Amino acid sequence: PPSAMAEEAPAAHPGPPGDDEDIIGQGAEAIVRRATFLGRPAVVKERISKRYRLKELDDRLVSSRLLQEVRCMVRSAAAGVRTPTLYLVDLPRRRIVMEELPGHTAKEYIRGGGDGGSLAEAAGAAVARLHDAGIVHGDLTTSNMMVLPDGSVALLDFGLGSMQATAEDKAVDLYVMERAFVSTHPGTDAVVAATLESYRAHSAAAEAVWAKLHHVRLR
Amino acid sequence: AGGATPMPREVSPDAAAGTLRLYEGVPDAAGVTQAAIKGALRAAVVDADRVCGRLHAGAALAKALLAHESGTMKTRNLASEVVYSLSHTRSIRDSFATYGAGAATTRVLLVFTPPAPTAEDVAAADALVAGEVAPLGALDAGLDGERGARIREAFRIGADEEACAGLEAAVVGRVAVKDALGS
Repeated sequence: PPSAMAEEAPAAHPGPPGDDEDIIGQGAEAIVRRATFLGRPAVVKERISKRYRLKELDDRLVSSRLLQEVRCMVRSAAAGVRTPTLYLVDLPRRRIVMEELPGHTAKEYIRGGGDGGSLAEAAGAAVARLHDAGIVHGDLTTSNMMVLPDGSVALLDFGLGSMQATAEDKAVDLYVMERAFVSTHPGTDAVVAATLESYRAHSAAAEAVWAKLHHVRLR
Repeated sequence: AGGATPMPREVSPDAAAGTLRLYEGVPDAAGVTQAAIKGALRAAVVDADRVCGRLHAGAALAKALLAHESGTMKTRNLASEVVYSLSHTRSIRDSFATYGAGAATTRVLLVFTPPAPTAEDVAAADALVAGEVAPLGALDAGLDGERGARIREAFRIGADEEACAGLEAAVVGRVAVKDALGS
């Protein structure tokens, strides 16, 4: 009988536990591993327990942060912001399974000599759409933006995201993006400026954010 | 040095190895559902017109398996949990009414639950369903027409979202978060 769930039908490959070669990122809050979901390239983000916390408190905190991240991803996708498709939410194991997007992070793209102008246009447009949906990302680094094969930009890692964002929240989001760009990629001030211009051109509420951004920069 | 990169771990091996069988021109879909309830089939009996594609079906099976494993199923058994997991709604009754094969259903999708069906199991299913076996690629058909419109409406998928990642991805995202977010 046709088993057609797995797109490329590889044999199920449970693998040994703790496959370190699959780890693609590790932070204070989560480990991110490459995986497959029904044979499709996927990413598993598993939130880490903090042993110094009371277990009950830790469980609740981890769940609530995981769900907040999922909420932000769902709202972003609904607003037409490209984010990884969610495949599975596994609360007992504190993990989410999502699509692994094709392409390169903006960080790799810039370091590889990619076209800063088209990146700026696409990134500014993506963040504008996000902010117009009332969502702030919270960590707009070039590692958290993917340049897809068609040149559009997707946003990753909404672990610090929040909703019902004010103009000031959005300004802070842009400021973080500015600082992250410049510190990771010295000499890209023109790309940053172009990104902000693209944001301004694509956002319906840019003027209010701009006024706040000016004050945030002065702080 | 050298050698192939090992395959990353499959998150849901049972769902990845899961068996689907699509039938068209089914004369008595409601009868098939009843027979499955009585144990004649170890499969979810689904209205194929409500399914967006193989990823939708697979993601629902993976979600049902996870719920079964963690003791958090909303329904009585794995097959009914698959039907519920396919659905846009948290209402169990509406899920069965919309996604379960019923009197008006002519295209039936069987989602077999583990362990994998034997050749005899499949032959018995074919005899019971009594429809014409169709290639699974047909599961993706008709999404530009009325079938797609009904799916979009049920899952409330807007044009912007669909333009980004496609209809099936949007549906799978809804399936993934349905119970976690309580919407």
